[in-house]
Amino acid sequence: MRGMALRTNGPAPKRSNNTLYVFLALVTISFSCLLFSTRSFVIDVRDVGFSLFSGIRGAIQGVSTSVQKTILSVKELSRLKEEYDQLVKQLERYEELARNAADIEQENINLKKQLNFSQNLIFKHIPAQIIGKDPDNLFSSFVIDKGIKEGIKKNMAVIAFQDGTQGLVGLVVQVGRHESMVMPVYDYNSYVSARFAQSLYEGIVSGQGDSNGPLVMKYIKKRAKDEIQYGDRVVTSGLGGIYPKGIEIGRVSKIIFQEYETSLTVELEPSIDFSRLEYVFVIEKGNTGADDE
Amino acid sequence: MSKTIGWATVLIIIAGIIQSSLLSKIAIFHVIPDLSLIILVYISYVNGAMTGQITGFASGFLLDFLSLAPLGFNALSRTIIGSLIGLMKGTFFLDIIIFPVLLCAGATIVKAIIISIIHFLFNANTPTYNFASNMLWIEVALNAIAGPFVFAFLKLFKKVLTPRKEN
Repeated sequence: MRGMALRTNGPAPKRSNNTLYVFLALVTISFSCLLFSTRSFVIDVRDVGFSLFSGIRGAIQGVSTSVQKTILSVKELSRLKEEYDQLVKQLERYEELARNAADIEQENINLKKQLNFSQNLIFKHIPAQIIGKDPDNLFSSFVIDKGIKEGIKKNMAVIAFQDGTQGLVGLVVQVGRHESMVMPVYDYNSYVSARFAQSLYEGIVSGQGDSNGPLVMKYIKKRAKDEIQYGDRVVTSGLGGIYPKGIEIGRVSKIIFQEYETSLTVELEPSIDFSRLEYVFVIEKGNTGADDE
Repeated sequence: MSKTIGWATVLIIIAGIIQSSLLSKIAIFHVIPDLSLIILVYISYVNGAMTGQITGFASGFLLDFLSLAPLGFNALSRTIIGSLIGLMKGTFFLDIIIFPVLLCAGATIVKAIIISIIHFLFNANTPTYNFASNMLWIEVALNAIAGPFVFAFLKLFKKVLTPRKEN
């Protein structure tokens, strides 16, 4: 009887121990991975993984666009039917036509602007569309619809054209077969070598993780204080050979001067409104006009 | 158990891709609900710690490929969340609304705490939640609202997500 009692009570702690051992093993593995990846030892593994998912996101985007178009088409059909029933009111019909014409005209103007910008760009570039964003709220990357097959490579600079301004968007950090991941300039890990367009003082621009927040330019010589004005343009310096020279990053919105600090810090309002960003241009390497350090 | 983990991982990855491509278009104040976390919470609570932690590890590892997160970031946080939620298995009756809301809101706060610890341990090389900012609390609210709907959806797949022998 004692033996039976021992047998029936036996397996419970063992199973509990197994759970604990597995938990410890998994935590150790993931912790080690995190340790190595933050030191950039496993970049190739990440690329393979990213490539595996490359295409799925594009397919979902395609399906969603198609569904969206179908829904819009149905809505459009219904609207047209209503209009057909009211054809007697010619004036309304003409107003509708005029409105459609205005929309097409506006779309045409926008496309011409993009085309004009694309033709005037002095760098070799690959146009791309944003098809997804980071699934995690803490990270700010976005995904574009061009990858290795279209000639995208890691560390290519990404720019955009908005309201007549050519602005820096970010950097390609991961490349799949037909998709790439872009780290925007406002990301925590983004650092861009920059200079003031007028006074030419140099510094490093970094992000704060918030697309609506300002960018921060640090390590500016203190003597630049008297030559910097609110609204001054800050552009890429081209040092480091990654970003093309002379691309606008933002304009000075705040000057932070501390007596005890060895350098000056300024806050910048980004030139690009990231919430409205749809199309970007990836600058091909070797045509950036950048200076190597 | 392996079948459950396999199906759960597939569902979590699909949720991750939907978060990336579709939900990002309808983000509220630039914040989207973490559907993959909600699925993990359900799987862990229904199946226990062992299934929860392995599912958290496998799905977190794959989610790291979809994100700018360093490899192991989601794997580590989701392994711990899966294990913790799994330990609560059978503690409360899983009703339709109240408990899913509390579980999902709680899991999001636990995630934020774990990520803050990772941020501290890795010398601020990983981002973290600011407990005073709106972003975290909007995500908590969105996950709490989405929780009952996702739980109800997952109950349709009870046969594959809940094995007969549970640990």
